[in-house]
Amino acid sequence: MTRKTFADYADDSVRWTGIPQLLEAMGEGRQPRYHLRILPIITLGLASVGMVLLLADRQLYWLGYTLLMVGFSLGTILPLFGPIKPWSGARVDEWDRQVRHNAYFATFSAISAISIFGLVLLCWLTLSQAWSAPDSLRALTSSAVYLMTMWSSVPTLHASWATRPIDEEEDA
Amino acid sequence: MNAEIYNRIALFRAERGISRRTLADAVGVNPQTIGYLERGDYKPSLELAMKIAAYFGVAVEHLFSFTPFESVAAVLRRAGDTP
Repeated sequence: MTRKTFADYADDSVRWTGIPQLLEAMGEGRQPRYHLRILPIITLGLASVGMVLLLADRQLYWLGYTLLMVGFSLGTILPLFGPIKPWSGARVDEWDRQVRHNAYFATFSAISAISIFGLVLLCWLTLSQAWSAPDSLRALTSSAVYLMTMWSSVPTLHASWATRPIDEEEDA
Repeated sequence: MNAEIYNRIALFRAERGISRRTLADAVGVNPQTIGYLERGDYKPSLELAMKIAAYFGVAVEHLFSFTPFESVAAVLRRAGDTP
């Protein structure tokens, strides 16, 4: 019997966390997927509150920007574990394609509506608040981050609410 | 028009002792898709419907219908009433 070295113990502890197995599964597109019904709402809620704060009051800009970035960061995780499978790597069948199609159609519709509303709002704020060029630039870049948050969150939100989870029953 | 499509995939599967995974692998979809089909949450493409029917060796209309299928209990009761 050989004694374990410190490096062996370190390797065991990393394997114990499950992270290497998860990374391997993600590489092969077979990580667990969940109906994330609440997390996208929290993500969009944080980002939306952040946008309102940073547009409403210059004093609250950094608080608003922080909330927006927290929402954006959470949003990047959603596609990894949500019901919509990636464009490549996973076994995607006709049901997956239909769910993705419906989810992205809803997402593009929502982003289009928000973009039109946002552009008009930004024009109005720029004029009514007499924003300087840097102020306008910050609002515009924040709006881009908000739209990217929508891009990553709304598909998961739609797919999670449009379909019901299914039990694994005798699939073994 | 968005007609409901009923199926008895679960019945055929149970009768032959086939798991969702086995059927799914045979017709080239994920097991969850078979689950959604059985629950009536998803309408299959013509290609998938024909593949499933071919797997069970029956006509498509024996598996899929625009009207609800008669329950097994009702069929047995009717068969028992016949002299």
